[in-house]
Amino acid sequence: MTVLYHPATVFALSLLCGWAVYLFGRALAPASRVIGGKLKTYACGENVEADSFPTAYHLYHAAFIFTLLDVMALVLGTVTGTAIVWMVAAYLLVGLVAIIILFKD
Amino acid sequence: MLDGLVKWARAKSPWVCHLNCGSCNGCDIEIVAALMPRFDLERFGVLLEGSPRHADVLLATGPVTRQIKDRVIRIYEQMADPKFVIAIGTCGVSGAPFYPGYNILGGVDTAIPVDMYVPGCPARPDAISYGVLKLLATLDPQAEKLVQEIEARGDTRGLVYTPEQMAEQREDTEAARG
Repeated sequence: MTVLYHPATVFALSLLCGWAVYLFGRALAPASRVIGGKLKTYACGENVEADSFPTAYHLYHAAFIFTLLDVMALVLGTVTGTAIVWMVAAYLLVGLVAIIILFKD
Repeated sequence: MLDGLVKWARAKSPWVCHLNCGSCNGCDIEIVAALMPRFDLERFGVLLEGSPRHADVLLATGPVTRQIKDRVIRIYEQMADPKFVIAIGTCGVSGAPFYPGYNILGGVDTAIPVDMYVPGCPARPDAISYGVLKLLATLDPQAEKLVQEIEARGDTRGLVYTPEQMAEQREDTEAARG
């Protein structure tokens, strides 16, 4: 029974459910006809090009590092007393590598 | 069985998107009136959507202007298949009284194919409801029964035109003009 509650089983089941919903939708939907502006961004009928909306990426790094730190703090804050120390250390190391990669340029 | 399920779902939840091609706003207000509790178009499962990506039926009002033609086509192309268009109001049907103005191309069918015409200036909300119901009748036998019931109850001539009826009407008008 505990196998059912294992995160890996839950993840696999969720993935299967997602695929099932997707395949059911595909079976119901009529064949896609890509005509004219079908795949274009919807902008109330306007013909927009990608460069019409320059995205400000300069704040992306800052937002990402805060996300990383928040997630790491949440994980470390909810670590149980029986956690293996070297696993926690490995997790911190992976986080550190992610931050280094983020700012290597 | 799957086809039956799809047909049932499609007929019971026709989501609509409203597009003003150049209308004076008269018909647009009537569309709102048709959706409100008095006429309650929503009882047929109709839901007003903000994006044509999520809509099955395009409720187009007003004459098609030269400026909006490309936009109307693009919006129509961006709708998911199968899609339907209802031209609402006399301007949406033929462009009148603005046709043939320098900036007017005509009715909605000058840009995209139309499945149902609801004339009127502005189109009455009950006529709009009837138009939507007539469109649904092509998909759902229950809606067809309801249309027959409505037609048996009173005179519905001139409220809604199918593309074939509209073509006949236009031929008659041309013949009368000589």
